[in-house]
Formats: sequence, C-alpha cells, structure tokens
Amino acid sequence: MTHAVQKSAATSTLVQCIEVWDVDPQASLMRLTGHVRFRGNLMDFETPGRSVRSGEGLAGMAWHQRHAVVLQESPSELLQQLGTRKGLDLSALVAFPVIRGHEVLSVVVLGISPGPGAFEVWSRDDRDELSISASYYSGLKSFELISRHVRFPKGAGLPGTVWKTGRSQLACNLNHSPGFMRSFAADETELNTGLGLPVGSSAGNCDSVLLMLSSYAKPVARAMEIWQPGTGHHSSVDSAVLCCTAADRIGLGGSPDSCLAMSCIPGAKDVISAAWDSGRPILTASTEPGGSSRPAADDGVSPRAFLAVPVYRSTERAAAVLMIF
Amino acid sequence: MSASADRRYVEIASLTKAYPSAFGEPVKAVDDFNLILRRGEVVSLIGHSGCGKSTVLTMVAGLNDITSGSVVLAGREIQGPGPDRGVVFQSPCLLPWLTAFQNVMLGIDQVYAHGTKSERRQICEYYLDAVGLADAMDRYPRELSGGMQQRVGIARAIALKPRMLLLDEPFGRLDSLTRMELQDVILGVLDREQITTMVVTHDVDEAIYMSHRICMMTNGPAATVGQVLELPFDRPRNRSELLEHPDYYEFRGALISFLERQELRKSPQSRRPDATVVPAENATPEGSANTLQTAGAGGIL
Repeated sequence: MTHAVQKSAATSTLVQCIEVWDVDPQASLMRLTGHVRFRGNLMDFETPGRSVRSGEGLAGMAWHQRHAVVLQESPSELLQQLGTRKGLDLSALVAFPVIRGHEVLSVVVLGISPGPGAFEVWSRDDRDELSISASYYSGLKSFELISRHVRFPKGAGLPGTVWKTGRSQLACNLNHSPGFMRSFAADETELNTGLGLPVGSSAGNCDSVLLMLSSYAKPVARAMEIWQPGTGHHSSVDSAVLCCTAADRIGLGGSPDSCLAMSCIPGAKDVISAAWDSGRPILTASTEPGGSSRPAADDGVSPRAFLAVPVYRSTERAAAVLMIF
Repeated sequence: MSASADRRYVEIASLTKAYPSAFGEPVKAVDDFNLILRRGEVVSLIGHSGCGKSTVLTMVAGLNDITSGSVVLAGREIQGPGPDRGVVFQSPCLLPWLTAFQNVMLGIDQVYAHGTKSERRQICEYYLDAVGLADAMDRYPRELSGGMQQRVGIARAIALKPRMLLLDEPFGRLDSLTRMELQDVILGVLDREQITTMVVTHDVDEAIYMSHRICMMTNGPAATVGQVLELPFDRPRNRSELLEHPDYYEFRGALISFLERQELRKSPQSRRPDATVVPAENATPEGSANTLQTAGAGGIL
C-alpha cells in the first residue's frame, strides 16, 4: 500500500509536550524532572523543580490511581489553560505511571495535539476481559464506536497480548495485520502503529494496558522501539545486553516495512541505557552538533527529543520503550 | 444464586483441543480459548468454516473430550454430557417412528421422572406450543417440513429446562424466510426463559440479531478468541428496528472486516513478521546488530 506521507518524514507528532515526574524516596512528593514542548519547529527543554503531591493535578492523579489517566473533556478548562500557558494547541493529556512491584516510581505526561490517532486505557473487568476504561480518539469515528464495545480476553488482540505477556508490544502495519483485531477501521484512518504498555504489573500480571495508536500522517512519535535484555541476561540486569526487538520509524522516513529494521539512531542508546540503569523514565533533547546545550534545530528528519521508559514485570525490569520525537 | 455467580455463570478457561498427528506434535484445533458468559446471556461464536467453533461447542456440551482447560457451568465443572445442557444441531435428528409430541416427551420422561404423567404432558405441550407447533404435535417427522422438524428439535432441547442451550448452526439448512421465523421463535423463548445460550453461526446478521455478545474466533489451527463484541442494541429485538439502527451497519462492517482479515492469515504474504503483532518476547535479539551493553550506571559499550 502506498501512502504519500510515507515518502517524507512527518515533522509533526501527535505528542506536543512531555513531562516526566519522579516520586521522591519518601514517596511524599513527585518532582518534575524533565519537560519538553514542541511548537512548530521550535522546542523548549527545561528541568524545572516543580512538585506535586499524590492526587494533585494530572500527574498526581496517575500516581494516586496507579493507572493511566486520560483528560480530554471538550472544552476542558484545564486543557485550555495549559495550552495557552505553553503556547500549544492541546486536545488531550495522557498520564501513565511507571510502577515497580507496588511502588510508583514516576509518571509520564503526554500533551496531545489534534490529529488522527488514539490513546486507550484497557482495564480488566469483572469477566477477566479488557475493556476501555478511558480513551482519546481523534478523527476515528467508526473505530471509536466499535472499540467501546470490544472486549479482549487474555491473549487476544494487542491489549490481550500485552496482558498475557506482561511486556510491551509494538504492532506495525496495522491496516494489513490480521493480528490487529480491530483493523476494520485502520484502513480508513491510516492507522499504522500500535504500542501497548502494561501498567500496574504485579506478579507477572498487569492491571491495565495503555495503547497508543499512531497514524502515518501525524504519528504519536517519529519512532518507537522496544528494547529488551538478551537471552541469558535476565538475572543480571545491571550488566544487561539490551537489544532492540521491535521498532517503527515511520516518522523518521522509514518505510512501513521497517518494523524490525535494526538501524541505530544516534543518541538513542544513551537514553535507553540511562533509563535502564536508573530504572526511571529519561527525557532528553537532541543538542546541536559540537556539544552545545541548545536544542538542535528541527530539520524534519533528525530526532528532537528522546523519551525512554522502563517497563517492569513485577519488580524486575523487563524492557525499555523508546519514543523518538 | 448470587449476583456474582450469575456474572460468571459459564466460565470457559484455557480450553484446548489437540488431535494426535502422524507427523509429530499433536495439532491444536483450539488453543487457550477463554470466555465467560453471564446468566441468561446469548453469545454467538463466529469465524470461518473449520476454525473450531463447533469444536468449542461440542466440548462445552461434553460430547468432545477436552485436551486441557475447563468449562464450569453454574459452579460445577462439566464432565461429559448432561441434562443441564441442551444441544440443537443443524439437523434435528428426530426419531422417525415417533410423533413430534413423543419425540419431545422422550427427554421429559427421563428428566422429570418424578412428575406425574399429566405434569409431563403439560410441559411437553407448553414447549411445543412455544415453538408454534400446537397444531402439529401428533404428526410424524415425515409429515413435517424442515423448519417444523427443527422446531421440534428446539422444543425437545428447551423442554428439559437446561442451564445452558447450545445451538450449532441451527438454521443452516433452512430457507431465509423460515430461518428468520425460527430466529424469532427462539429469541422469544430465550428472552422469556432467560436461558444462557451459545450459538455457532456463519451468518453475521444472525449473530447480531440474536446475541448479547459476539465472540469472533481466529482461524485455525490453534484457533482462539480474537475479540468479543458487546452489542448495544435493546432486547427484545425487533428486526426492522435493528436494521434501521444508525450503528447497525458499523457493527456489521466490523464483523465482516474481521472475517476478511482472518482470511488473509491464510496467504503466505500476510505472514511477514511486520504484518503481525510483533511478539517482543519471541524476537531473537541475540542475532541482532542493534544491541547495547549497559554496565552499571550509564556505562555503554
């Protein structure tokens, strides 16, 4: 299938701002440790020391509730205020916690701009099936209608596979994929990539799954990758060999067939390594060549920012998800 | 029975059916099939021919051995066939030397042996009347049309007041008009009696019309639940109102598209790794060039 937008990299991403919040060792406060916002070709990167308590604001809500939160009321006063303050056109905010065992380590907040795509939180219901408990859809009318009535037992579809394996999963070429069960609308909406993250994993069983569905025209991120320890190194996580086991780089000019292409993007490994070693999400901005601390100019192809998020299976690091913007 | 038990009235857990193979490992026809039915719920199984729908149904009926997994009905794990489950197949298989009334009475005499003859007769007449055969009770199968014979089969199954009704393409041999008529008859009985029901069908419209939920099965081998669609349409169903519902064709399109996509799985081209959900845990990172060694904080090799 040929899409004109595949020929050139999509410069604009659905995610327009990112915040990383880390819970302090006493678990009394959560501090903002990383913040990026993209405004057209401009990007701001700062690490202000703002803090919130459990339950305060969106990040505090995700910390308190221990699962992903989607804010998308329209018109939402909070969204409008936030968008005006940051100079962004936001249509939704998504926050998800990074949980190790029973301990919330961090919360990642994504500010979403208008454009075709979806963020879904699939939670276990009283039938032991996953159903949508929170969601944001844009330009996906049929997909939204049907998805609200779809249920996935353990192991079924992308959310059910994440639940069963307790690991993040990346699905590419959704509109051609019989493995993506809701592909009926993927064609019409040009949905390309689905990234599933387990949230609240305990004893190898996750409580909910956050699904990010990305389109060709305006991807969630320019690239998404899953990195995992190589076989035989699971027990020695501090000296693990991490391998890229799934990747989608459509927003960086990759072809739809690049799902498992193993080309390395400069800067990616540093971020993955830092997230793996610290056990917390790491957000960094690309800097100008020559070691300048200023963010690199957006040439439409080079990465602007990296977000690496460790994924835990109970208390052990199972994988790291890399999103490149 | 508690509300909680009603919510999980039928629990099908990790149901698997494997057949021995002369070429090595047993072949799994159905693999890790999970489904929970509420009490009084009607659930359709749809999927391509040979995908394993009837295998699931016959395992639930107790007519087909379960390789692994379990089926729990009203809190009791099933062990073989029993009167708590009524089964209706595509062909009603009536005993030709007995009348419609006698065919239905055969089961009633076994299950309601404690009742008086009059009581048993009343039960039989009630259910034959419910399926619209009040005037044809004394006819022999050869004197009945295909649709009427199937009505006898349905009356025979529901007269035993089963906890669960299993319908295996019950309208498969009937013409369209008879099929629609019989669908209405069955729906009327199911809504009235609140019998938990599993229906195997190929017919998307039939599945939407009859069911609370539709379980879409992936293609075999190793068929399993692809996804479950919960239908938002009111009951009792009215065919013309349903067809005019603004969302009807969205749901119908989603079901047809699912079946078409499953068909794609058969073509070798669609089996490319990038065309499926990438099972990260099945990837082989050892062979990949894109590896990174971390050693302690921030160390990169």
